Amino acid sequence: MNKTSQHSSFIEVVEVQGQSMWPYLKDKDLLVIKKPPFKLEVGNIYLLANKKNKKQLVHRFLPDRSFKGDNNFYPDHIAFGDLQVIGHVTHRIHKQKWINLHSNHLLKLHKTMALFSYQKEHKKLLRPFVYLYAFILRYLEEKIQ
Amino acid sequence: MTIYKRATNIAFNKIDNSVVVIQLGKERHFHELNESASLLWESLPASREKLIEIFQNTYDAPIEQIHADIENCLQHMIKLSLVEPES
Repeated sequence: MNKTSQHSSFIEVVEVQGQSMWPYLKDKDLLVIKKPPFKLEVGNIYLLANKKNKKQLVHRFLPDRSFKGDNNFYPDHIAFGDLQVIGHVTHRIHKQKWINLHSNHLLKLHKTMALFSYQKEHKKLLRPFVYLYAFILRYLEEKIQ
Repeated sequence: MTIYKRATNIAFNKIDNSVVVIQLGKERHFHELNESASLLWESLPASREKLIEIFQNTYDAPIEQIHADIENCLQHMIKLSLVEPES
């Protein structure tokens, strides 16, 4: 995941690189990131940077206050070391449309996604169901907005 | 009469009273518009005359100032390929 464009005082735009949030976020998806201050909320997705090598990640905040890619088996502090939260993913650009990733009526679905993602570390059998859920969530957001 | 319209291949949204415009395609750029540029953007497509009328109804400023601001803003947006004039 890396930056693709310049930034302003309160937002920046990044392009997804990789499959760690697939199928909710796909390779080459364009994301709008809000800079701090913001609140950490379970289910929401944040831009993180490794404190040492500055490598950036876009992952979900889980109920145990860790971060993890929906498609990863381990939370980020185990897989990537010390991370700093540097942005909040607020929108995805889809066919010239800004898709709000935190619309109120879908917030509970994101929280449920966080619960699934948290469980997946322990119960690998849930994986196909989690993929399906993430796919439907992405589809719903595109259709509703 | 020239009508100014938004360029194609653009995604925009209003965040905290200012419009943010993202140019899609191979080279991606994004622009955070100030208050008056946001008003102009939201008024498009429009002729220069229509824009002047909208600005006069919104801002308490001398007409010469409004003319100059709209002209500057339009030229800047055309230069950045955000806006296209259509005769």
